[in-house]
Amino acid sequence: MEEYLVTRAHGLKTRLLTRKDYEALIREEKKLTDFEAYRDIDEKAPIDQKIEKIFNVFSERLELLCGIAEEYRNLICLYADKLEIENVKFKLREIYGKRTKPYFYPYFHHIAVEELKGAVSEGEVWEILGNTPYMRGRKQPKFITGTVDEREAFLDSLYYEYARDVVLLLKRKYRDAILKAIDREALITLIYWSIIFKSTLDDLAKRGIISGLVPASFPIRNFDPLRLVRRIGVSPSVVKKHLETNDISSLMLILENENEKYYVKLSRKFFTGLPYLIYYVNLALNEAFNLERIMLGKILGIPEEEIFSYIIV
Amino acid sequence: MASQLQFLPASRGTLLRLREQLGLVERGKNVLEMRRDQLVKEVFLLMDELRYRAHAEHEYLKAIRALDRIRSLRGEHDFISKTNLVKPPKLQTLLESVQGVPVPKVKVVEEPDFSRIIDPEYRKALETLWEALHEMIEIANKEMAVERLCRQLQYINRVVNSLDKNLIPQLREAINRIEEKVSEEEIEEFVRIKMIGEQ
Repeated sequence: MEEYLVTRAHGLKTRLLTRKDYEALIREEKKLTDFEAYRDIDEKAPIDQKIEKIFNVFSERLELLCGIAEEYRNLICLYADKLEIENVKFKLREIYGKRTKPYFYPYFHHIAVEELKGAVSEGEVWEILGNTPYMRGRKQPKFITGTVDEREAFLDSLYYEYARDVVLLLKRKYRDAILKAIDREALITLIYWSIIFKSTLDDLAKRGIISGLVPASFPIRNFDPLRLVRRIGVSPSVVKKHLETNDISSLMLILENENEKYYVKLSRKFFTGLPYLIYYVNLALNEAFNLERIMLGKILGIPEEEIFSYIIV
Repeated sequence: MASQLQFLPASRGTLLRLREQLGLVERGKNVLEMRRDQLVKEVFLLMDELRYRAHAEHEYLKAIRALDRIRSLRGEHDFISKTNLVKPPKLQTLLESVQGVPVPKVKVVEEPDFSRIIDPEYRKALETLWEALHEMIEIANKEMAVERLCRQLQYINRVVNSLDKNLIPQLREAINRIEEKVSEEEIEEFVRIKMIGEQ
């Protein structure tokens, strides 16, 4: 079944959009509806509905794979589960903020979107999370900064701990490679939080709030972002300016682009193995984010070249 | 008024009343002209400040573009929920008197609260946008003041022109006519009395 699953992933990968497709979309030579997978999207619909449809396509792709091998559902949905965690963050921001209804990703694995939408207090959100594998064996820590960001960092930590648990159940020959991919993703998230919290991050680490963000497959000495970026393969001189000017979005884009190289390596090394599945899911998720960036960029009137620099190919 | 002036009885009393009326109208005209000068001076002062509009618009667009970039890179979901954390500003529309002319003005009663946003990129972009927006509000207030002052100027000009071109000449003409008539009547009376005396 594992081989068939990977073979299907190979087949599905050929249906993903290519660099040329993105270029055509950005230059408006093609419309999104010209692509088979996105044929049903209403071009005149509001942006939030279009984005929802894009992520629906992503969910359907995963569902197709899950239908083939239900026993691998947790692995197939591993990267998509990030969206679920993002949904929880959106809910917390709604509770902490001016209580305007946020957009949620149309994705459900462990946390039903409708259930999350119905929560009215932070306690209810943690209660919902408590019934999921993300919080299994974990207690809600005592938060020290009183900010929603601290809770968000904890959610990220929970997600990566859960992701490692899922990967640890795999065969040894795939485990280390996928674990490293998870650790690299966790490291990028850790870099983000190290910029946000600066020296407070040490306190959060001591309290176990960000324990899941610390890589398990390679050591890190401290939370200095300039040192951490090296682990992703990015030279500190490249990101120094971004760090000084707090240009976090560009920094994250650089790190994500660099991280893609690891997935490509993974796909070549495990051409017929489960890591290829992770490679495919990551590409499919990138496609959804890329399309969101292109559509937003077009609506906001961002120059074509700039939009092109935002996408991860 | 013009038609009324034509049918006024030619008497000394009427003449006195008309002269008083002319004096009053001329004084009123002078006052209005002084007010007009004052308003023109104020408009010019405001116009000087409005030259800053291009800079304010430029800053506003720059701030919007910076935020658009973040919105595009971080995604719509993240952007919407992140901005949810900002406590919006409180604005109030008041009527303010500028040189005696009531002008509606938008006043910032409460500044927005960005304290819940810790992400420095988001926070800087939102703070810059608010600063630019605040400047745009100030410019809009001044533009509104200029508009209302100009409207008032138009009205004063109409009144001054009307006094200058219609009422004052008509009053002068009526005074002249009545003066002539009164002096004719006086001569007639004088001649009549003289002739009665000779008889």
